[in-house]
Amino acid sequence: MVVRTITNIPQANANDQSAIITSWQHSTGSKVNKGEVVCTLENTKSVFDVYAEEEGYLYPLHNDGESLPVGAALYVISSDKDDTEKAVRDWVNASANTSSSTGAPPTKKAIILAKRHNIDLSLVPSGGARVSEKDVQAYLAKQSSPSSRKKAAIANLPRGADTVLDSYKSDHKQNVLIIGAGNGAVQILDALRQSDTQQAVGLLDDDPDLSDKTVMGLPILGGCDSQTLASLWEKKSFDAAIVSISTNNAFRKLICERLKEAGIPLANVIHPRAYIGMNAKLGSGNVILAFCQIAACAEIGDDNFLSAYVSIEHHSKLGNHNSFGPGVLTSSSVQIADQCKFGTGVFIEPWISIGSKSVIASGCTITQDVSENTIVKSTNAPSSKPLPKQ
Amino acid sequence: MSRPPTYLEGLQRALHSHFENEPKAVILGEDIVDPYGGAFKVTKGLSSSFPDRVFSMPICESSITGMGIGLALRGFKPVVELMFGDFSTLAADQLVNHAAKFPAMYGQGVSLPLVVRTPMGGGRGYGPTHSQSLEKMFLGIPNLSVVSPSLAHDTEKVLTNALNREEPTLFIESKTLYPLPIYKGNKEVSIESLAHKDGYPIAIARNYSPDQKPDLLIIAYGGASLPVLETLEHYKEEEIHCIAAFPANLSSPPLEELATLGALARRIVIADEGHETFSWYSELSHSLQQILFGQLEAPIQHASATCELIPSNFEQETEVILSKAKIEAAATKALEW
Repeated sequence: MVVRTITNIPQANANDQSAIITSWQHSTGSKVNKGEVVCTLENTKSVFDVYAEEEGYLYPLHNDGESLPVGAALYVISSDKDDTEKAVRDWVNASANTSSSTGAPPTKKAIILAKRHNIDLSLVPSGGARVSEKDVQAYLAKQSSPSSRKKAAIANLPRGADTVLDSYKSDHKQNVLIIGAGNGAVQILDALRQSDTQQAVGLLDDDPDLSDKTVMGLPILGGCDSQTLASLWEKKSFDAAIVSISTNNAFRKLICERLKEAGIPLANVIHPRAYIGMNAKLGSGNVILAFCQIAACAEIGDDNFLSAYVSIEHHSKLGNHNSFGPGVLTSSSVQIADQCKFGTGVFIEPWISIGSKSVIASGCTITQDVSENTIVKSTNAPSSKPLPKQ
Repeated sequence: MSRPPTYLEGLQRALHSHFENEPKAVILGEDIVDPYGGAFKVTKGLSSSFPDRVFSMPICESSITGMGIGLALRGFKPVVELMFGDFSTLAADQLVNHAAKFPAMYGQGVSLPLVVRTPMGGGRGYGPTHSQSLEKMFLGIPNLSVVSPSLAHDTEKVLTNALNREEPTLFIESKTLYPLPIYKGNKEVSIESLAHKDGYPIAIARNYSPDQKPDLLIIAYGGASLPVLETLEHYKEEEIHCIAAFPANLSSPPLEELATLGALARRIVIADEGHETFSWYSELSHSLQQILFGQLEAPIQHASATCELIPSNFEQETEVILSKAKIEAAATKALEW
């Protein structure tokens, strides 16, 4: 294999940007040894020698007397005795061209844009010599525009298909299966009675005494075990499930996980008289009963049970599997973790955070953070005594 | 079309016209008389044309400057040349406690039209005591103007404006810019001049067309303009729309104009050749954030010399002083924020 190396005009001092070739010590194609003087250059301050960095056959690229900028290719040393001047010059030109055209990097603007949008630049097709800002923008538009995604999906639908990508027809009501057939279920049934978009289809309960009975006219279809759930789901007996048990959050969590595992969606059941504010975020599997407020920018996770008159104030954040008695009022920016249980009539001050699995007794006013696994009792429990006799 | 004058030629022309138009003009400095004509040739030819008004002085910056102050008080229009800006420290007492104070302390009617010219900056391998940019030591002194033209300025105009003023001016020139032609723009970068009420124009460079919006504003002055202009040329092909502003008046920078450009670009880099910390860039970024707080996409970034002695060795000097690489690193930080 032929090994060729280029030597460039060196920067001999800080003030000179060029040098003049005064003489070559060897003729074209002659052998030079490592450390031998190859040529002599001159700048404004001095005349200096250039030494061969390796042994080989010399091919000068310029003549005596020529002035060249610092960094310009000066000569080539080839390992091949039979190399030719033409081959060397072609190689020099080719290597100069490769470095400037093929494999050119994307523009800095393209790199910055790609970083900002977290995209892999190697996936972006280039419209010119280099990947440009325009190329990245075109790629981004294709990738992230929901309208273009939807357009593509519709174009791929078979003839006669519905353009709304939804399995329900416009008059379809979501069929809701209620887990637990106690008083919680009654409250859910009452809320669903008001709904135009949802209807209850049945209940499940592990209590064998309840099997084959009904709740407000709806059948109890079996226990809450995975098998029953799976077989009902397979028969398309319902579209989504909701947990009605408000007294045992660990059990709520267990059922919730069981449903998710089976791929069964959780329904939100929201009484029409509840208020959901702007930008409020809601997970799934939540029961929100009459006169509740989920204020602007509040966030609710999954599988929570909110009795009547519960207010989750703006910017508050509620985790998963929590249950609330009636009249629990949070102030703004309250954080409640998972599996907490609230009694009736609890007030929570702004910016308070309540850790997981805590229990807050009825009538408490929470003025400081509650860590997890904590029971909070009211210290001002009223005492009572008989009225004095008249 | 003839080539534009060099940075140096503009300064030479300003001195020649000043001496032609102003019979009271005199100049004092070290080795400024022909045939040597000064270490950087700014006074070349001046002593041949005006032999009785060009004085080569003993090596004593304080007395040269002091004499200039005396001449100015007595009605002359003196110019003082300090061979290297590094030795402005020797004239500091004269500048700070005398030139900047006398007009006010003497009461009414005394003016002090003195221009002290001196070159600053590295890049030539002159080592720790001949490569510094010490102008920041003279910033924030009441009644002392500090002025420096960039490569995109008409240096003749800027020096003429300083020469026509009635108050003392420290005029900073750039060693690296002297031999270079005034930057008039090319296919990558266009130049315009923004007039300012103090008579010192702001040179504006941009590498994008007027109907596009800038991604970045770079503010610099004097010798720092060269790596900034190189950055703009490079950024043209990188699609980074960059506007550069080079104010000439350092002690009283045109904040309103700079803030307007900053609000447009929303990302700002300030480059100066001084050692980093407690510098022109730090004062300017403070003033700009007072105006632009909340309007920027990124904190104002800076590029400057590192805070260490400037070595003579070319490679090591390049590491320490301001460079295009440092400006681009700061720009990347601002752009990627």
